[in-house]
Amino acid sequence: MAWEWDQERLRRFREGAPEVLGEVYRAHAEPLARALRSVAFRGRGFAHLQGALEVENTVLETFARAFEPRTRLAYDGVRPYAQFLMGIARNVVLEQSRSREVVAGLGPQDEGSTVDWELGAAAGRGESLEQQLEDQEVEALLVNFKQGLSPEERELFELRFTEGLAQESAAERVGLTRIQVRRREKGLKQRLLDFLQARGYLQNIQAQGWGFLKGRGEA
Amino acid sequence: MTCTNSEMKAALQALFLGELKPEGHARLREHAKTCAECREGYERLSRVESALEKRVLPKGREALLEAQLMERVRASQQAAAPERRSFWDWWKVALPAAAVAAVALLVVLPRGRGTGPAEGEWQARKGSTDSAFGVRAFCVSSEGKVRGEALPGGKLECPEGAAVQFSYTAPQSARLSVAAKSSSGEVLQFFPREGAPAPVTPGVDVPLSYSTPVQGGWLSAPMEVRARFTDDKGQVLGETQVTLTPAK
Repeated sequence: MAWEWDQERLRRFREGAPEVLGEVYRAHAEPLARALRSVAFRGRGFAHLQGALEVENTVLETFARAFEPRTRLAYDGVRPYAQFLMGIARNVVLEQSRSREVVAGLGPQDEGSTVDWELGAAAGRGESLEQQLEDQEVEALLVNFKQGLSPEERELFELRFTEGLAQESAAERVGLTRIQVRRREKGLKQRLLDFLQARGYLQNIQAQGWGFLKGRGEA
Repeated sequence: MTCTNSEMKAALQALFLGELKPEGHARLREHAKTCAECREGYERLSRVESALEKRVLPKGREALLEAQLMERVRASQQAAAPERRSFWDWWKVALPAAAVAAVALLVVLPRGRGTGPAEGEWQARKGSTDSAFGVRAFCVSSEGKVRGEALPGGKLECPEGAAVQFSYTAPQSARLSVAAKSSSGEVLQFFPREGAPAPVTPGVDVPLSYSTPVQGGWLSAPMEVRARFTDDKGQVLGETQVTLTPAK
């Protein structure tokens, strides 16, 4: 992750300027989440990080500690911030792990030394078979869903969700206004939700949209 | 088992549609910690979003977490900032204080000039505000749950049967000692267990390798624990203090 610190940015970071904290967070949140997910499959005792909820909680807790005034002062602006952040994440995860071991009545195990905590060191390595199968299931469902869309809808779907284009840029590409893109996008997501429920992938998620209610036969 | 919390079901859907507010997201995450069904829904929706965006942390969730993070930062900054007072509030306090100070200056200054306490003596009593060195203290129950924590300069209540755990932040290698003086005058050394200050590596919130059980009555009255970071020559790099108090 290329993240440039200059004196001014470092000064404002240390002061706690919200816009700089936001920039730092957005530049490092996804790499940190990726590294945490990777650790989950390499360290005995870190399996809880396979779940999205735990990864999100750990990302939030790590940044909350990283943005405490003292911790901001402790960052020197020289070594990579990702590395600094991973040191904090490591402590957060080890604390979580220890409290789980105590609750489960297991002996303490410090895996901090045996797991590679370098950010992104082994991203994408060693997923469980169960996880791989579920990923394949989701991918197949998405392919299936896209096949049922009109060419215009499919183009918008790809631009917005797969390529991650901003609404303005996607609107330009498909010749619509941003408002129109927003409406169609919401409709597409609602239909996807409906589709996933109808195929049994999602259950018991209350729906408010008409299409969804009709699909469930509840309207 | 079926969850009947309709607010959370609606929140799951709103999350996927990008319509959930940060407060709603925080409530949903809290609920999902204890509700297996909603947790399953949360995980599955996340998997779909991740597959779509080819990201571990989908953009929508990243933005919701950012809002919650900034709220926490704001709250902690407000908690740390002194309470604002109106002009008259200040004036009511300042006027008598200024009068007392003026009298004290007249009485003390001629005798006290040049004999004030060294800077270090004052710093030892407070959490340092301009140094990155510091310690945090945690009270950990016998079940392994954190019952409370204290930042540098703060106060930590901890009952008999629990344990006190310290973590330190040091921007550079240093030697650390964490110790307190009991009401009877006995020196209680928390880190290292005995002997001279021990070397610690740079790091943020690094837990010390052992905790100290609260037992035998050593924590029967408030106690000021001082953490001192020094270099190899014994020069003080940073100093902070945490107050431990007994709890029922």
